[in-house]
Amino acid sequence: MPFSCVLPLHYLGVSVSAVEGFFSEATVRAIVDVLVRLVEAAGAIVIFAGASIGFVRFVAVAVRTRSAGAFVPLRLELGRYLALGLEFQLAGDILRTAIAPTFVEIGQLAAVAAIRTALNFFLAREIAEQRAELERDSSAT
Amino acid sequence: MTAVTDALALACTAAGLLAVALEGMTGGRWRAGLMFGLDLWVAAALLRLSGAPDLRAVAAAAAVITARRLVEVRRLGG
Repeated sequence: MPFSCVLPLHYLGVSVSAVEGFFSEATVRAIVDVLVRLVEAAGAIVIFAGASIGFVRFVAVAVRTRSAGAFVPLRLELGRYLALGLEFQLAGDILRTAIAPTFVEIGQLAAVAAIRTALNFFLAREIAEQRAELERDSSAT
Repeated sequence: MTAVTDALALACTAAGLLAVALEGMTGGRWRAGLMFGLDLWVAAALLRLSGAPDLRAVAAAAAVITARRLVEVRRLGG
């Protein structure tokens, strides 16, 4: 349906062809591509920041303490960062489905999204298990 | 962007190896070091999945996640 039927653009002084040009398939594809890159970059930054912070804290704890249980809070925090980064990557996958033109690309996208969703599920479960372990330890002491 | 994420993934992989070596050599706590190392390797696998990953990256991520899950189940079981 043409935009002129949906929106009274001529009242706003906007050219109908300019609006239709802006929403052309190529423009939408370019915009979504930029958004996907931004969202995936955000996910990569979150994951790498979590890994860096976790590693620095791991070294500090490894030098100071002799208990293996001291690493549980560190793993919990790193798991949270990974889960957040995964959410960003899943958002990128969802955005990419808007411009995936072939069945092969959609199939690859589905495989990656399935892996990310499974990992997100396991991470959420492990975070819950580690939190329960921490609470057990703190109530025992 | 792929070159940057690959470099970040490599850094995470190296950090994981260092974590395992540090824990194993200083305290003999190989399992604790391995668990944290696997977490860092999962981070590396996720970084490699950024952008448009090929099937090798997907298979590698699935393998790391499965290994991590197996070690976690074994740790909770015994």
